[in-house]
Amino acid sequence: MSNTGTLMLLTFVCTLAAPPGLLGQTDNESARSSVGLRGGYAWTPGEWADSRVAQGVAIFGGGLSFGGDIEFRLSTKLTLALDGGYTIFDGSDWEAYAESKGDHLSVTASMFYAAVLLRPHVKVTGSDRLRLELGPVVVFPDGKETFGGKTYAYDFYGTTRFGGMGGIEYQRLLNEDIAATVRASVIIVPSGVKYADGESRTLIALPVTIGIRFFF
Amino acid sequence: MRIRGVQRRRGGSLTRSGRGVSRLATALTMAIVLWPYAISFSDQEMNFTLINQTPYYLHVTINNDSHLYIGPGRVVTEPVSGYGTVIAEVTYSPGQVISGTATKTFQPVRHDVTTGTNTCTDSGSNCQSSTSSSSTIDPISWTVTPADMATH
Repeated sequence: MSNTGTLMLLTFVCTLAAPPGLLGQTDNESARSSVGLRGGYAWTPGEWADSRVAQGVAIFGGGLSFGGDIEFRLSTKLTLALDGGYTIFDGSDWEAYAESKGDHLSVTASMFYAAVLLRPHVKVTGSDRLRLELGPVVVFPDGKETFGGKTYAYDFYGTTRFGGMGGIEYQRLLNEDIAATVRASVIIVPSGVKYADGESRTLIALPVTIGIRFFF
Repeated sequence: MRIRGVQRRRGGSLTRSGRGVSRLATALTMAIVLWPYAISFSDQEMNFTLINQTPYYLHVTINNDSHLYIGPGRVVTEPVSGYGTVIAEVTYSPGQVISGTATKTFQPVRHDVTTGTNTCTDSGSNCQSSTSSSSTIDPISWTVTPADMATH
């Protein structure tokens, strides 16, 4: 497990183990069921996003990210969420690089993901709330490139894979039932990219989004 | 007289509609009996191996299945039907300041092997012979070298 993943897991376990008082949360400010919508940008750090031909040139560059979730209250400080999102990757770096080498190509790549997330609410102060999230994620990648008059599906980036997802969300209550949100997540999928000759790379995506949450 | 939907004349012969049903039933029975053999026949698979012996990355297409950015010195293995033609096409991947492509067609070579056995009982006075047949398919591979690649 990566250092980031270990840190997230430790934080998550400590949060679950901590008493409500330590979390600055009272029964009146307990976690509530809600529906959330969000949009933003997803970064794609790491080698996985790079072209195999030219390191540092991204095939899967960062792009717009959208998502939504529905979460159900499990306890005063814990919710369970069904979360889904869609990210469009930017292949223009790779297109420009290939063009500079005399090859014309176009890239289309995206990723849909769905996750089941446990969300401990770690801090509540007035109308400000903070919560973490962690859980398994399933990723449905899709990509293709058109080169030399032929369209090739990205076989190395086209298989459903499982991984983990974690994150943190800040919520600012606008009224009793609506909150504005800022959220940062990390999606880690081992072997998210796997070439036919055996080489595999770990997919990492970092969506940062703003959104709105409706409590019910 | 009507028996299970098949109309039969007094003398026992079938009417036209009865014969149609009878033929359909025969065809269905044969299909059910032969189905396992049909499956095993068409499912005999083999591996096609492609070795990239060029110093460049390749886009490889084997019977319409594409494998992209195959590294120099790397190997791709694709399961293919042992009864059909294998068409492999390779192209230099983009971004490498080189262009070229090559296509090869392969026909799997099957070897049918028939094995005969003779089983005797009662001190050789009562013998029975039987035969069984099987087939093997030679593996197919293509080592792609720069010489294979027609530049354009």
